[in-house]
Amino acid sequence: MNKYQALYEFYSSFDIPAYEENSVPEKAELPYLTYEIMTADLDMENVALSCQIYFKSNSLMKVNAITEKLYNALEGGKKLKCDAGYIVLYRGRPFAQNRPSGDKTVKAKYINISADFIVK
Amino acid sequence: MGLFNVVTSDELNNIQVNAGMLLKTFDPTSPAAPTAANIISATTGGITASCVPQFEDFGQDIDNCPNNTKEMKKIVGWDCTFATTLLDMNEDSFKLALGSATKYSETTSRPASVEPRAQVAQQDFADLWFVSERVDDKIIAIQLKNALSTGGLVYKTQKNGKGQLTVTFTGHIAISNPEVIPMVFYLCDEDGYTPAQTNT
Repeated sequence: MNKYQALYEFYSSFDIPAYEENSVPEKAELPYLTYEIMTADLDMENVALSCQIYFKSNSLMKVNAITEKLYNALEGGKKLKCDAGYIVLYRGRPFAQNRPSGDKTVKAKYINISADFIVK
Repeated sequence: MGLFNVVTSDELNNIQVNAGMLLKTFDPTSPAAPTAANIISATTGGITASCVPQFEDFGQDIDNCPNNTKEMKKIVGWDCTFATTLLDMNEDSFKLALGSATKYSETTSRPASVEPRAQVAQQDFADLWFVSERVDDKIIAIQLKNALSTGGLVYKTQKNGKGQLTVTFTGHIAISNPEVIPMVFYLCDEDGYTPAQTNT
């Protein structure tokens, strides 16, 4: 599994489809999660990543529930094994912010994640 | 690619990640998730374990003997410490940071308190464990034997921030067993330890 597949697999584990933020299909239906891909080498510097969660709803309840799942999954650092080594994801700061979507019936959350790329 | 800038996957497995935690007890033969009662405190800024030999150069005053001659090098002791900053502000943290202190529970006539003592008591010493994980999920567990806070209680607050207790714990040799150095390093699997088979 390469780095990109490892990130996709992690973001796809929250019961809603996950898409790389620039690769959301035109016909994709809400809810879904979009995530940013950045990679780095073994220089021990954290890399700031983000993802966004979208739900078609008048309430924040569902988007908050997925945010909590993501928060719990990152407890203590989530290690993703890949061919090149490991990616370790941590909660970023601030972790989650509500984000205006332009549509009152769409609720969105912006999540900050920091990553260590322990890869060769 | 140059000859000497290669990183192997095995080396990457050995990298430790995250701050780890200080525990009251830990069994390296059967690792288990710590209970709340077993955790010393929330910490900040990570934890530092230090195990430094004190050397004496027995040849230093001998004419014609160079300094740092290996045959003359002697170990006269070890400085074994854990240092960190605690965030839990409760009676247990204060007692731990003070080292020699007595904790008094709340009564009908007085609130709970922690009072430093003029004398060290043998029950002030207790083992501590610093447990952290490698990226491949192996557990690094460091035992500090007969630990006592030797840095005292240093309590600092800050504007718009969290109060902090800076502590240093030092391991001690027991006079009953002077050969046992008070720090041990374990590397164990999450699913426990299986003793190696011996050939009979």
